[in-house]
Amino acid sequence: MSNVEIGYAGVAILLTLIALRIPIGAALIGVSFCGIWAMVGPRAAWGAMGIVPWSFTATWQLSSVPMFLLMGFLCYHAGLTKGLFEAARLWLSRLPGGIAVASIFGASGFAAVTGSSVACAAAMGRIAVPEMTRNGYNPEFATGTVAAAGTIGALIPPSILLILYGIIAQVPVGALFMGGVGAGLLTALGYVLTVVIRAKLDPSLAPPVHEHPGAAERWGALAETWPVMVLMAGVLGGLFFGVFTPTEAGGAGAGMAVIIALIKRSLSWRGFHDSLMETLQTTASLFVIAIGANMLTRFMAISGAGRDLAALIDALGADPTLLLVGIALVYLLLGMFLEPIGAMLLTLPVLLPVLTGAGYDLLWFGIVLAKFLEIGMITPPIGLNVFVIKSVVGDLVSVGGIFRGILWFLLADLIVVTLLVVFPDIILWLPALMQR
Amino acid sequence: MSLPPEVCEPTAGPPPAPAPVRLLGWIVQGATWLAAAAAVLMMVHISVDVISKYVFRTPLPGTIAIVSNYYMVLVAFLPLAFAERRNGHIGVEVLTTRFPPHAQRALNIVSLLFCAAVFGALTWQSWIEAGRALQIGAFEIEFDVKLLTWPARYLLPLGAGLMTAALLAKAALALLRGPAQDPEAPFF
Repeated sequence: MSNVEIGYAGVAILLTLIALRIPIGAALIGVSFCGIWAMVGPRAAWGAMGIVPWSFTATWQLSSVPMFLLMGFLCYHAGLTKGLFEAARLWLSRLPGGIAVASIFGASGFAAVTGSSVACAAAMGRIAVPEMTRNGYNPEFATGTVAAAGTIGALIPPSILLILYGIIAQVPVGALFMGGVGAGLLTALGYVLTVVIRAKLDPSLAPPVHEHPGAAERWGALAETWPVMVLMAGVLGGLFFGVFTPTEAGGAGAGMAVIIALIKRSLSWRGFHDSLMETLQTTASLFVIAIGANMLTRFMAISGAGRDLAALIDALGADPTLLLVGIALVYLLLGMFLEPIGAMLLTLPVLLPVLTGAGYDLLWFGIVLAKFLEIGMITPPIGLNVFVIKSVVGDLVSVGGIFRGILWFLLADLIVVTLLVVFPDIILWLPALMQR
Repeated sequence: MSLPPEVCEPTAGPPPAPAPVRLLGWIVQGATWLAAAAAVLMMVHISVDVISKYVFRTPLPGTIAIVSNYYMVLVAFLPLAFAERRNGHIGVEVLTTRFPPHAQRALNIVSLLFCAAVFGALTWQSWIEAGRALQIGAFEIEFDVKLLTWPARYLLPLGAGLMTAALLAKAALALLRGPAQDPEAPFF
């Protein structure tokens, strides 16, 4: 067997193992180890096993992953984000589908303190769905909105997905974060329009609310959102103006979250403990996969399979747009089985040579990739966000019902993706403005 | 879609594990506390460094070296076994849930042994690397501060070794307990 053949065979074996429920991280490490052994011999295989886990993990840059995770879990357990939805609800009560729009605002604000889409969906599902059903909203409409709104979490910084992409694709994480802002806001706008248009066309989905709060109550609720505002201003502002690096932003953000929670007296020992344990579990399980992806990158580089694939696609004469459609389909398919970060880490080692060959801007592509992966979170049969919402709301609505509620938001996403491709500046303008 | 966790938890508790497995459980717990302490220290250390850099214009010496060589290794590798215990490692379950129960059980045991082999190899090789680092007395220098890094090298085989032990314990329990064990329930 030639090296390229070993490379392709390795990928095939890897996918088979993963389909048979072998954890992704162990499968990546095991297959890459055996592949390198088969091509270069035992010394190189043991060498990779000895060097990669340490040199990948013991880095300053990657420390932002556990720190941003901790910040998000702390905000969640200390209830720092509670006021967001409430304030948005009071201010938007006159809008058609106002409470649903408020849940999208709430999710966008929550996205600014957490790096994960699932956490975002769970938090909004717990607060916003009961409020919507109490006001006579259609349950499918309510849950669909919240599941879709959760996907904003991985676009608006901080984003664990974008940090790992940046480290592997060697794109500055700060620039990626700023690029995510444009795509995240556009997505939020698309979802808001979807809600308003649907509620206008069919008022039975979201009957108008008749209690309109006074100005004092509204300003009071807005004042209650200060913890998130302070954190957002601190982390995003600090990043944008170059006060700290993306790495420092994680630690500083977690520190700020603790201080705010102490001032608010809303952090219990239990909440602190749970935040730490969830941080550790998520960090360990993500890092195993990331280490495995790094080993796979070595394996692919030695085998030349990635370059071979790139040459093949080049020879087919596929233009970049067509290639992008192909990539989108691959991720939509993968998103049916895999959670997004796993899907990204699994595919990047093979995909990166193809991307550079096609001449994509890797900063722009990172954001588009995050968008693809997030759409995978809300498409059947396996939409992670949908299952999270289902477990939060119980018998209110079936899984199929939530997917029906999401359908219209997928249409909005299609338009958003098209805009991102046709006008790449939506993503690139903010990173270009950023101080370096 | 299965029942939400709070519904099935009280009935699906596993029978008590044999003493050596419980001992392993305590060690894993201890390692997890150590990792938690490292996460808190990392947060405090970075925050203080940022403040002292922008308020007092003097960064804390050795922050980057300590965060990357010690805190990161503690936070990433010591909780491996903890995550395994909680069945927290990420895999694809949708395809195998359609298999008959005995096939799922066999697959689960094969998967545990495969992972044990991978993490066993990692433990072995990282132990050798740590020995090499000890021999040369590996260190890093940052702003004139010398930080010994070889002791941190031993944290990797420690975490990976605990993970291997946890995987083997799970495989042994799955074999001993027969088909009654639900692969989703915590093992020990």
